[in-house]
Amino acid sequence: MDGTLIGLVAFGAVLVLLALRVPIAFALAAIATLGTFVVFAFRTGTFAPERAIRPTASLVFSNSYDLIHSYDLSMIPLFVALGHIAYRAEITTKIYHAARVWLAKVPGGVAMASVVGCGGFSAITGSSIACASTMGRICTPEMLSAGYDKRLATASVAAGGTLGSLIPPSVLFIIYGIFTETSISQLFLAGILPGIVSLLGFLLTIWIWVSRDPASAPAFTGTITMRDRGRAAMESWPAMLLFVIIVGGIYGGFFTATEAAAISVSAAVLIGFVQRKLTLRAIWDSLRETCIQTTSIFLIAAGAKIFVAFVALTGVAPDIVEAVTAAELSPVLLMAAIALIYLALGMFLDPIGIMVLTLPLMIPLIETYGFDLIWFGVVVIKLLEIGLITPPVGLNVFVIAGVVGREVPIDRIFSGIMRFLAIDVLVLILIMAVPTLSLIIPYSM
Amino acid sequence: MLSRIEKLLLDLAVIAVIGLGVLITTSVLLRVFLNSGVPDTVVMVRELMIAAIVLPLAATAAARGNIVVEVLSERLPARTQDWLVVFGSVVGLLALAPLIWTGWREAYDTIESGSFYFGQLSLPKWPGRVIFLFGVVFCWIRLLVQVFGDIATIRSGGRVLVTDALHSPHEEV
Repeated sequence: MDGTLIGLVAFGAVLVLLALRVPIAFALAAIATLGTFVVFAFRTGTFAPERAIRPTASLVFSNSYDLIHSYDLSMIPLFVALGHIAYRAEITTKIYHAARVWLAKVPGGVAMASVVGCGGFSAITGSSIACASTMGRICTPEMLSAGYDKRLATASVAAGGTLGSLIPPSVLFIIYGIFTETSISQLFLAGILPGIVSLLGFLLTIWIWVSRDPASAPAFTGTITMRDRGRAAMESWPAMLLFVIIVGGIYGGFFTATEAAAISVSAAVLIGFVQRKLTLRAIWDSLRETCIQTTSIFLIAAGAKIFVAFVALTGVAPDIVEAVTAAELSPVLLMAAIALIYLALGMFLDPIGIMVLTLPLMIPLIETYGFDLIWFGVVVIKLLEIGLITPPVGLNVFVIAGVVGREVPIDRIFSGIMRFLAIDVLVLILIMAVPTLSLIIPYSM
Repeated sequence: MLSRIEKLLLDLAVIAVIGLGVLITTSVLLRVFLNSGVPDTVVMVRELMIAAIVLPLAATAAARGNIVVEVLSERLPARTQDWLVVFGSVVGLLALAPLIWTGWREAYDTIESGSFYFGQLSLPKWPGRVIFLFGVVFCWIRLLVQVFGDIATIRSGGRVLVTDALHSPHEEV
């Protein structure tokens, strides 16, 4: 039986199961197991199922067990724990409060502070939707009560939340690193400048929006003294410290990404206790949430790992590479096509689902064209970020809609998002056209 | 009973995560300040990872925390959506079955052979395999209970809880 045909049928079957609301992990694992069994059973030309049982079971077990039985990937539960503990210790929200004070006099200051707050939140938690969810509860009601345009108040946080995937630490970068076998430390460092450029792009969007329509963001009428600014800045030191530990530790060669995760969690716990913001109960609850969340991530990763092994058996990836090479697509055209595929998938699927489904086919293609996998990782994550705010299934938009309830209809949020989407596309083009932007920091280590 | 076991397994996973953090932090501090380290840190972290990730499988399934795509299904009638939840659990049962079979063989073989990791402490290999088997088996049992429970709920005209499913693993981070 033709391996490529089995591979293509399997991809179709996974999509059908996903559409039928089968959990992503189960869909990938079930189809990959069945597909592997079929490939092994037909290996000798005739159907011999008795010869397929043991190798199939062995492949399924080794791929899932070895994935979890990993020292490097212990950074995932640790970074997820960091996000939960830092939130309960009020470390993450202090950045927003500091930005809120510093930008109070700037037109659209609260919206800008929300974006800066999202950037800071991302630098600790590594999650886009968590960022939108948490910051949305804090910033959006404040903007709405201050008389901000509802579209600006919601869209700025939905867009700002996407920074969570690009600014390190990022769960999506870790998963990309697993499947491409690239350095997660280098991926983290590669995301810094594109993350900052994205953040600046969002600030520019707000500035242009408010400059053209001053009524969309009423000016702040209170008084802010230098003392207030100093105090606000001082209060955000724990977040700065954690960011320095993670990025400085990795860049300075003091720690690996895994060690940075452990040290930063320990530091967050210490800070939380010293500042009397944490209790043992809060830590335990945070870690329970961490375990549930990490398990659901790993379950998908394990399903995807089995699926990747199955795809390798079928030989479908080399066939696709051969077909694309034969079509003599130019590198620019290839990247444009890849971007379109990711943007289209981003409208319907969640980021992890997109990544685990596409990477087994994309990576051989990217390697054939000689592109840098670290740079491609940044491009993929940026595309997935854009997918988080693209209609009809922009997850971040739905998160914000859940926060504001009926006060702002979802189509109003999407109409506000369009301006941020435009700047996101420009930043994406910049990242694609200037690989140095992503690679200068990791390759200067 | 099953819920209590799931809670216990979840709490054991929490202890494993604490172990991960303490072990790696201690190892780094010892390296920086005493130019020393904890023996076999890598092996111990890898074994703790199995506990941290696999033991909460049943609790994750019970919380319907497995990530799903709802774009198409949410447009279907409520009753159809409920049957799709059951279908998803059945696919889960099928997907996990080979892992239980191989997991049992692996655990049995490592205990029988007494195999261990090369290192200063010569740690045995069986704990990771046994923990893995436990975690997957309890998840399988939870899914089975869910399938029967959900079918009973649908037949009695009730609704299967579907709103708790996560859209993304990051939703609550």
